[in-house]
Amino acid sequence: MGRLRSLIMLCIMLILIFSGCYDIREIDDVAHVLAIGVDRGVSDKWRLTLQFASLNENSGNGQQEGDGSSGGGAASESGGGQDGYTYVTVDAPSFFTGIDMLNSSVPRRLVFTHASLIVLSEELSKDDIVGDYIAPIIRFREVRRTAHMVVTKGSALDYIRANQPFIGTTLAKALQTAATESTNTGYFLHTTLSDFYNQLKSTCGQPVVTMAAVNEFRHFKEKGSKWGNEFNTGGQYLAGQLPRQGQNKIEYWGTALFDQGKMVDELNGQETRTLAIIRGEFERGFFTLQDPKEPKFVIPLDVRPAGRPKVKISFNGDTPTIDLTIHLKGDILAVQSRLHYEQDPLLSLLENTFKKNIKSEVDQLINRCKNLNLDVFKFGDVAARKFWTIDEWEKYNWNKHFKDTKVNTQVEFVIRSTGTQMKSSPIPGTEEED
Amino acid sequence: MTFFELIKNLITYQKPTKGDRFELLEDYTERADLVDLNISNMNSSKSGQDTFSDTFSFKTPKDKKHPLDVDKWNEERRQKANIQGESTSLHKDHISKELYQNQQRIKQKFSIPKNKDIIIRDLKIGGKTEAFIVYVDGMADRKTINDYILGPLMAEGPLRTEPCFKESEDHFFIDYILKNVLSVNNIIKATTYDEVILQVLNGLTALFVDDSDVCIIIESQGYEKRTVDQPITETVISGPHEAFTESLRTNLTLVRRIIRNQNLLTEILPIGKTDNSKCGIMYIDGVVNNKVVDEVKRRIESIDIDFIMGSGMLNQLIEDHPFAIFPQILTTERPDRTASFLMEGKVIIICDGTPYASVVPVTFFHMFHSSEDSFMRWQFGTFIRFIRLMAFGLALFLPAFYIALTLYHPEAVPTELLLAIERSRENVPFPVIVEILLMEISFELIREAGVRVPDVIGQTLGIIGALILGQSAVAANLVSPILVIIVSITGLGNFAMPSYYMGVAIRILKFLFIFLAAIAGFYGLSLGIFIVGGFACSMKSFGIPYFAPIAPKTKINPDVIVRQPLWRQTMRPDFTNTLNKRRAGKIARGWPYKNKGGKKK
Amino acid sequence: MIREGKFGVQEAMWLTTITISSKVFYTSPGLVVSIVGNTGWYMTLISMATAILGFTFIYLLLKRFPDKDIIAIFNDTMGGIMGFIFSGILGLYLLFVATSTISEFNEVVKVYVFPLTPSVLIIALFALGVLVLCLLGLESLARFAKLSVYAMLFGFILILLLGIHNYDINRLFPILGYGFDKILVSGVVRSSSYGEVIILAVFATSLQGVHHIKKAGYTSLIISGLSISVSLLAFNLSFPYYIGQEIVAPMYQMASLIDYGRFIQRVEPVFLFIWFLSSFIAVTGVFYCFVSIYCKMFRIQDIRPIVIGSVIILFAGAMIQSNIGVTASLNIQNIRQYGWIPPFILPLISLVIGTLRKRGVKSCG
Repeated sequence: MGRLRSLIMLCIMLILIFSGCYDIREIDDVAHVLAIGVDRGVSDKWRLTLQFASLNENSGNGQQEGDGSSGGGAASESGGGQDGYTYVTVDAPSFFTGIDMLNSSVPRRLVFTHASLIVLSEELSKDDIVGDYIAPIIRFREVRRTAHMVVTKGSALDYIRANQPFIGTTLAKALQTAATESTNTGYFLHTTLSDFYNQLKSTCGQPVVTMAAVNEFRHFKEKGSKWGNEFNTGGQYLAGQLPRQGQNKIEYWGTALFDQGKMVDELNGQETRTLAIIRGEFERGFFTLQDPKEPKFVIPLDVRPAGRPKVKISFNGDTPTIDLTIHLKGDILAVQSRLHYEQDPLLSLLENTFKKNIKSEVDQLINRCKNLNLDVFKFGDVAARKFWTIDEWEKYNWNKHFKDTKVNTQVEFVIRSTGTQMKSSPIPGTEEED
Repeated sequence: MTFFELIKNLITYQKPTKGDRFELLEDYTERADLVDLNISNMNSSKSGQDTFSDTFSFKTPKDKKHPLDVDKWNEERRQKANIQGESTSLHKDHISKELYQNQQRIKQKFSIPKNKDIIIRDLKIGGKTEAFIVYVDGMADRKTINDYILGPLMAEGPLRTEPCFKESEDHFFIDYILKNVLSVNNIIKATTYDEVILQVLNGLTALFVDDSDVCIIIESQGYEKRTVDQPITETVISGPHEAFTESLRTNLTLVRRIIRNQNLLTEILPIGKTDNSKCGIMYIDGVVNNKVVDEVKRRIESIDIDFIMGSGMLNQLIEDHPFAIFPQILTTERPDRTASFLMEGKVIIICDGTPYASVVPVTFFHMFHSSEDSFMRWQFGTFIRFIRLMAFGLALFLPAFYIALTLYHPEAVPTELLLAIERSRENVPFPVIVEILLMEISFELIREAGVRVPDVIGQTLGIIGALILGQSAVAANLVSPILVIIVSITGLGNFAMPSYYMGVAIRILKFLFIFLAAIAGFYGLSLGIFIVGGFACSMKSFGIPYFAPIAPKTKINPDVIVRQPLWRQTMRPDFTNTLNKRRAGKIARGWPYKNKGGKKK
Repeated sequence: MIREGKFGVQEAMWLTTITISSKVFYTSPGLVVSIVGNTGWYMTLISMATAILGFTFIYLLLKRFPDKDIIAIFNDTMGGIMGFIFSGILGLYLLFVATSTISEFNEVVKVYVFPLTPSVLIIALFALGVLVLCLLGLESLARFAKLSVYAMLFGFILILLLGIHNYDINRLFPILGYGFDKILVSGVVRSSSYGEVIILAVFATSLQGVHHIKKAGYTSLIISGLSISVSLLAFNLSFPYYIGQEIVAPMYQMASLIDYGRFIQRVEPVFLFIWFLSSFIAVTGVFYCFVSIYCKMFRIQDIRPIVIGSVIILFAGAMIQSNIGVTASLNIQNIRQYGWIPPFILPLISLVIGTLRKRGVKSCG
């Protein structure tokens, strides 16, 4: 037994002596990339921008730097960021060469395992080459497929430059929470790299990606004539055009529609909500409804889904017919007109108005996508049920036939509660004026 | 053996040698033999010579070198044993009838003029018969000797007045003394010097009477011993608060006081060859599997060593896998726990000299049990056991896990935490592995020092030492703060182990896992678990697989990790193959059932 | 006699189950998807049924010769030479399975976890584990399998449950995948996935009695069939078929997709432990059986010295593979394609011959 033990010990010793701890990476020898930005380069095919923590605790020296694109060749440039986050950018022939080129200037090894945001520029996305740019990223073992993917107006470099923690000091947390904020608004979808890639390769659908933008606050007019009584849903803006102001320049808003690897259209906030409702990804949102009786007033509603949307598909020859039923429920948040919307008959009037609104929005969106021949609603997934084998399904080619589909929409909506008030009694003074 | 031969032997095949278990105790055993020989030789040699100086004089340079070949050594040992056997049978001399000769022999054996501990007191029984008593000063109780031995023997009374016995019938005289004179509870008659000496050394008093070849040995033990005290290492909140002491007799009594059953047997076996120490084996006849008892006795009887201090040493000699890291014998200082083990069909070994009872056979899971568990309601007991299991996991794997995570799998750490670690390590000049070893070793130091320092400052040292050390190590940029947390949680987990020896095993294994994690991350860690787990699974404690009720699966009494309510624990553990399997009736508590329980209808 | 120790039904069952189902962690699910599309989850049930049929023959054979292992039975039914050849084929098959599993393991580990570590280190560490556990014996291995199965099952189920947010029922459609004929054919052929059940017959003497083997065999086949099916189902639900066939280690990728925001994500490490431990157990089990067959073939009494040499063969064999393409497509495909022959057909032949030659105990007695 002793002999045996010594043999085992010998083996262990040999292995340990010859092992070099190859994959060891001291935690402070690496820089964990948090966000990856991809643009079309000027000096080379790729312009790669990487953001990571600089770990300077006493930072905040928002040092101004020149445009990254002005550097020639592999000129990499690191800009100082606030709160200890910094970025580097490089023009490179490929993703991996870019990393190596950057590593020569970044004193720590760049590691992508914690990258939680991938930013593509709109310009790149519209060039039908997104697949080429995504392929190396998806194959790279370090990049997680759960990373949030967005398409940005303007350049990804600008976006990442503006991407700084706004509340708190941790960018990672900010990225994480911002991405999941979609569940509270529905103005953008949470799209991951995995989602995008699955849809890119899909036989039955097209990818969508969150739109993002750097809002330069140009649309915020501090002065001007005041707003009248016209009605707006609030979601009609495109990304980067929100009339707002404040510290945080970046915003997720709307959706980029892709035809396979090419971005073809952009949805505004309201349309994105509709898209989310159809896809069954809508979780909650405040809708503003024009008062059906008193058009100058609005009724805000807190809307939630009351079950997943029901999709039924039948085939008439090669032409599919889709029956879509959407179930929503909501609470009244306010009644400005102080009419008695809390009970019938006004309650059903309110419900019907909302149903009509949603239905028209849904129909509009579906028609728009049909014209583009983009099935971004995941109808194709359901349609696949009607086929027995993959071969039949691929031969049928859903993406080709989507434009021919007939979609019947039906919206169910009930008001569940009236908020904290059972009714709203009139304000004496103002009521007399009417 | 040259290095080449060593390598050759490693590779070439040799038949497995069914080794003598005591192979590795070569030196001890040899010396034990020598001492034995020496002592027995002392009988014929001149008196007044120091035994031990004689023993050590055997260590000539020739003996020191050249360890013998095993076969040769065994052969020699056998021969020696034979010689010894013969010599002892030769020297096993009987007490002579000459009182003077007896006294001389006793003096010679105890090296009397030199050895001041042994008292020989001459007396005349009833003023007529010459006699003397021998006892060890301090071991024997003076009061007993004065009042109940010397008093009656020398007092006025029938002995003095009535010559009612014939002087030739010495046996009758001895019996007369036994029956009528000595008012002491326990009296033995001995016929050989060896027996007498052994008993005298145990604190008994020997009475030699003129013209008699029988010696009366009178119970008079009265040495200093500690009283029954509170347990030190196994404190509980609910449950009895008494612990074993150093005295074998007291310990056996403590157990017997709990199990008042005639089937509770106690066997006393000698263990040490020179210090004449004994150990007691307790088991419940009819419950225990006799094979286990036989195995325990076989192992203990085969021990050939000069000196055994207590259960700790004995356990090392009788355990199955001396090279395995996990303890295979459970020690407890609590009589109540010992009793509950007895009822499970275990064998208890209690050694003279240490306040611990050793329990065999035990399994891995016994190491997580504490006597408190069974006193508590089952929900509490189960919960606490889960905590202990978690503590086991933490104490064993946490530092290794940290190493593996930070060095090989940073993707699994939440980003914020990772950045925090990164930031905190910013000024630390060492690699993580050095950092963690530094911290672990200092923690071990604090633990070890905490045991050594006097009680008064011990507590302070433990807490303050850890705190200050951690604090200043962080301040000095030697380690990162998160590491202090890791190490302290590891330490806490270790302290939560009910079995101290298991705790030590974990402390050692922890370093192995740290090492493996540093080599290959989770892969190394899994490999370590695989190999250590494999070794542990191959272990047996007195014939019982170490992970017994789980692997191999046997019928379980629901008291392994999850403790079901007491009334569901109706069976004794199956793996011990107890003779009597049931520990409770099929329905342990009858009252909830209408017809079965209550006597009254 | 070789000391293989004795162990119970449970240990044998879990050892076999882990050995069979560990392959779900490698490239196999991806290959299954490329063959039959999104229908692997019920295809494997067909394979399981076939394997159960195959095991029935093994069981009948063992029943005819109680207290004998498969090597002795081969010798008994077909005479020394044929029996020797049959045992040899079986042994080589098991060795091949063991080496391929290690090299596949090595490739996958290199891709996902240790890209820079040289193969030699990964395989050497693996071989070290195999060596130690083989020396400790089958008994220890079986016990360790039983002991670790609790943790492994817990982690496995946890991963499957946590993945629920990625599941999309529509991905199971079209329900027939690439066609039912393909499913049926590959279902039958891929019963080789369950071929490791033959190890029960190799250490038959360690189990007390044939009825224990029956119980262990059938339960382990069913449990592993179900667990493979469930994991393939989860995999098919998580990835559309066109993505599924691209992925090297689908289960790992699936675990990495678990993302509940700031609550829980990045749980692959849990998975790594299950993966590594089950691979260790599986390879050691198969490899031990190879060594055992070898020793029985040449009537070698002590298994220990053979283990050391054989581990070197195992190590070398695993090092031969040049890249993951070869490993995945060639070896694994071949094993899956023809791997059902040694474990199921050889005992069948032996059974038929045994019946014809009227050897062994009458089964109905």
